[in-house]
Amino acid sequence: MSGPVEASSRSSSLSQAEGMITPESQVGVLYAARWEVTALLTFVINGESHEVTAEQFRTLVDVAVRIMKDASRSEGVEFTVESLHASAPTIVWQPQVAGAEVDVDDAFTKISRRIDEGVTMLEADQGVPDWMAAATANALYQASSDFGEGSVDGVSFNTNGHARKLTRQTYRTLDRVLHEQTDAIGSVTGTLVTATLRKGAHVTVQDEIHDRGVLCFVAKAELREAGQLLGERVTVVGNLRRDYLGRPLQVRNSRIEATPEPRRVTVAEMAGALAGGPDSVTWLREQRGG
Amino acid sequence: MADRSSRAVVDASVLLAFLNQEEGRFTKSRELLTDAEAGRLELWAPMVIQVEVARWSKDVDPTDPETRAKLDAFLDSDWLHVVEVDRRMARIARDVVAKTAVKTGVDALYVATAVIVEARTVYTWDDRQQADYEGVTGAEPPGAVAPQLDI
Repeated sequence: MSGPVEASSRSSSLSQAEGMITPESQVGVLYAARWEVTALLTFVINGESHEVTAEQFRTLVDVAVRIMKDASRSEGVEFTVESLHASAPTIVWQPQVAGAEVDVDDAFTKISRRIDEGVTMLEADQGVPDWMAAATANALYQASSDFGEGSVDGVSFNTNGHARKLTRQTYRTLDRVLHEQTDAIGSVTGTLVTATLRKGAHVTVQDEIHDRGVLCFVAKAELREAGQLLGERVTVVGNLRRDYLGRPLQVRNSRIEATPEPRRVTVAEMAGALAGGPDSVTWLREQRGG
Repeated sequence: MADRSSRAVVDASVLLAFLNQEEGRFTKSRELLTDAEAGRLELWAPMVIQVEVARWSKDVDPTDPETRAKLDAFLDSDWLHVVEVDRRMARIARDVVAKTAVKTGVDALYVATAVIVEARTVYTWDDRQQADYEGVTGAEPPGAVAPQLDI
């Protein structure tokens, strides 16, 4: 690895970042450094530097960038990589503010706290923080699979000198959560694409919300009837199993009903179509209570 | 031109204000829905929105069956993306109720929907939904993204 890979003319906090204490075992340090500020957020790869491969480094940097992106979403601050020094190896991140109304101090505090709490959740087996996108959780799961078993012990986020370390426990947490499934009575609507007796009588419905095939197991006697609906839009009701993101996986004890495409009505057609009704806000407050 | 992210959650109050032609709310509600229909933004809502609007329409009691059929079709429009209320959403909604000033479970479901679909805004006419949770805030419909022609 050789660097810098990317460089920028802005380096307001780089001198501060360079002055930070970094353990000898660090092979990478990501500095999410703020413009003219004292607060710093750093990302550190903990391990034996000479044994970390370029691929591992690239993967962990990618995960760190994803985490920062997720954590700073909605705060009006975007962290961009200012420079990447693979030989050091160091990444300096530069915050960019979306608008003048953004309170950078407040945003930075929120982002730091979010990362702090997120790392704590992952390490305490309390689940995946809600702000973390599914793709990020999956990327972290893959990246952390050999934490503690190879050259990388883990990674740390340091916020204002407050270190939070992701270890092999994070991998265990993600392994549990990402494979978590729930069962409940529910339904799936979509196109019926297959009907077969192989591996148990079942049909496959292409779920129109998630655009994924869902196996729906039915009684043998009902399969023939279901076969008549091939290519049709159907709704399947039964014991619905979902993954941790709520995506349907399969339905047991299915009941299948034809569900024709709804007719199309334009917004213009419905403008004031039910005028004279109760006031929307007042009515909803009455209904919802509180 | 309103500054708007491309994905948002819409509260039932916006649909009702549009259907009810409510003064001071109708135009901006219509513009928001028209933008969604034209693909200029994505509108999402928890599935309960369909029940709320249908229940409200019962109080209007339209005698014309054609209007009722059109309302059913309107609620199934493909520009209105609905999210099922599953355990994950329920867990987030519980957290919203615990940590914010949002008063009711249904209000919390709209905020939770925004978290799940990664939207920043819940468009609503009810200032009670002005919660600030994980970067999600409530806001009134801002007006059209594209210039509107009243023909």
